[in-house]
Amino acid sequence: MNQCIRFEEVTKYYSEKKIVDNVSLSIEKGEFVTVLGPSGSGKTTMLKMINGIVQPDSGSIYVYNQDVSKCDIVNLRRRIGYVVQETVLFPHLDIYHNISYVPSLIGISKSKTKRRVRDLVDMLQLDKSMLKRYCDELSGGEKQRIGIARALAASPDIMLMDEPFGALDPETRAILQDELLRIWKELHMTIFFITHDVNEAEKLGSRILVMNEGVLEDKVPSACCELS
Amino acid sequence: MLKETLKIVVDRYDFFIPLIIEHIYISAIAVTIATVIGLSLGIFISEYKITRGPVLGITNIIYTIPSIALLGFMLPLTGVGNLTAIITLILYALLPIIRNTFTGITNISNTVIEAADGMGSTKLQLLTRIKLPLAFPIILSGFRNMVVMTIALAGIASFIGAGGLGVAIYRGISTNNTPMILAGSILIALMAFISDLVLGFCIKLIERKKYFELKLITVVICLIIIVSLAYGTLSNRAEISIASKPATEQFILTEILKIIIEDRTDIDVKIYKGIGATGSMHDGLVKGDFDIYPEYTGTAWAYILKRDLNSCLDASGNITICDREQMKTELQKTYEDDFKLTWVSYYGFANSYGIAVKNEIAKKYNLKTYSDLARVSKNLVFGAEYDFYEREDGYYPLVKKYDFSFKDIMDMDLGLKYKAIESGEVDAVLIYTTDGEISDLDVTVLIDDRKFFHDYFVGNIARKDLIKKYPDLLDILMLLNNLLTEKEMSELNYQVDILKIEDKEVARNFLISKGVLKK
Ligand SMILES: Nc1ncnc2c1ncn2[C@@H]1O[C@H](COP(=O)(O)OP(=O)(O)O)[C@@H](O)[C@H]1O
Ligand SMILES: [Mg+2]
Repeated sequence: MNQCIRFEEVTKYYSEKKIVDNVSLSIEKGEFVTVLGPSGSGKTTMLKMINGIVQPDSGSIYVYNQDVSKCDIVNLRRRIGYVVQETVLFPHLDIYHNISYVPSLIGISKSKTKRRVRDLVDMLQLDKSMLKRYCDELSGGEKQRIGIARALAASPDIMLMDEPFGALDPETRAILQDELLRIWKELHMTIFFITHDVNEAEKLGSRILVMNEGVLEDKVPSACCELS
Repeated sequence: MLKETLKIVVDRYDFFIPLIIEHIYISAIAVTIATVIGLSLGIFISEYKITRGPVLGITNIIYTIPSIALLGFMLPLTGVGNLTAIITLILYALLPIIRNTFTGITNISNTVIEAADGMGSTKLQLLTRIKLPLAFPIILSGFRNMVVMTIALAGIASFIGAGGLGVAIYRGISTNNTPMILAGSILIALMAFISDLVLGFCIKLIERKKYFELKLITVVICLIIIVSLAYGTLSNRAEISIASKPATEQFILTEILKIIIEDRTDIDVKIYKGIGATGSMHDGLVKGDFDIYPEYTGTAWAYILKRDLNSCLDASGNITICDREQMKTELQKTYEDDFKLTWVSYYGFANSYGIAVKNEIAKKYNLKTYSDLARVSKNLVFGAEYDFYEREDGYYPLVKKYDFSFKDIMDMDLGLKYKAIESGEVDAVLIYTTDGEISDLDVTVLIDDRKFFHDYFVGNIARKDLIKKYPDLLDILMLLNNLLTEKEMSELNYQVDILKIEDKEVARNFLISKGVLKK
């Protein structure tokens, strides 16, 4: 079995309050997992445990069969694309250097990075002239595309995306959803995608999970419900 | 006044330009070191937040110590000169840079840091690529405060013998030269103002993300600093340092020393003007902060040896008044044995207390001596500065000795004394026998016929190891022996104090006129 991410009886408290409640989950390579759930239900906390920003109080998380709490976390993170909730870009870097942030951490050569950024600009249909600009001059949709380009820059196999399209107007959101699906199919990635929008979860996910007060369940596909 | 100030700057540009460069040099070293230490500490306390309280607390306390006091604390530890000044400036400069580094880093939004962290930045990468660049505008505004403050404070540092534009201010104060004081102050203010403008402009450039222009300015600033650092280290190669008390007479004497030593040897001489009172001069010389300074026999006798004037023994073993030669011999012996110092040469004049009366009064009552004055004192008004009425060798013992009974006494400022006698407000006035003003006034200096006042002969005290190192120096210093009379000294003081001629020039012209120096 091509296991990619695995939660084993993971529980997390924030000051007495159980935020993630005994979650066990196994995600296989190439899956597009969408996680649904109301605000405050523990989705972000769960996602941050995958790249080790948050540590569980009990249980373990494995990425590529490596225990996240025991492996070389910096290297692991560089192989995981990360699109933060509300996509924070680095305000002091221009777009080019935002996109090439992870390659620059790894020390990938300038010419290689340049080619990679050019490919990403094409892939996400960005305007080349934008590369020298700073994030405060961009629209919400453009920022999201750049956030995704940045996450993809070091060619990760896993993408963690925390409500990336939450703040966009419906039209832009639909376009970006289509592009994300195209990229996912093209690059055969594993995507862990958080949203609180049911339609988005259904449109994108090859598998849909629901989080509710820290408890995780598989969602019964709506198509089957309509049948019954 | 402004015109005179401008004139003094233009006329003496060769005096001011080295001072400006030295001011930059001192400030730049202090700022650079404070930035390195302050940044490190600021980063440290933002990473290890428990250390924040003590570090900020201590720097805060240092910051509130008045600068004069802090300079005073540092003096016994690191001596006079630029080092103490730089250390003091660094201590003050730390607070703004530490505080702003800390604030800048802790103010960065957590989501940005978490994003960079989650993408696989190491701790160092997080610091250098995210935290420091984002905190940079706030750090820079702390830096701006610090630079302006350091430049201003460096002006005070000349009180402990450091260089820079404070030298001009201090010189102006001790020679009662207001345009000089103004020139120094305005130049310091101007430097602080320009730095403030430039750094403010840099902050604007960052806000507009014009990094190219920013780099350009940084390069220019670095060049200026490097040049003044190079100049500072080169010009600091002095081999002999000479110090003076804050008085015109001492300024002239140290210039004379410098000129004559540099003329006869290859030794570089640096003068520290206006270091302080007798106590700190003596301590500095004993410790080796400097090598030579001019001192007065009576002062050394009273303050350093702590001896009374009437404490010598005559041939038959009775306690008597010390005679001049006896005093000199005993001074020399104690200095050599106890302090490893030596009195090398005496200039030949004494700067003592004296009493002067207006010529017309002297004529009217036929006054020549203090005893003459005592006869008619009930008709006359006497004036002196405040502290003369408090001193143990001051007014009341004097009155007792000569049986004076002045009609009235007045206390007044040093500077106003001479105006008062000119206008007839007072009839007799306390003077220093070499005061420059005397040669300008219609006064007669009376004779202390019953020897109330000490002799204050001026000699050079040098460190013995200096003489050992440069044996030729002894002969050179002896050239100064008996070089000046009281009247000549008072004339030289007059040229500096009243005519506002530069002390260096007065010294040079005098040496030429005496044939000691060739033209
Ligand atoms: N660092 C933290 N410290 C304390 N409480 C937290 C922290 N992070 C999240 N929480 C709390 O945990 C709960 C779940 O948060 P989160 O995982 O962000 O939910 P979601 O992403 O589903 O909206 C919320 O009540 C939130 O206030
Ligand atoms: Mg969330």
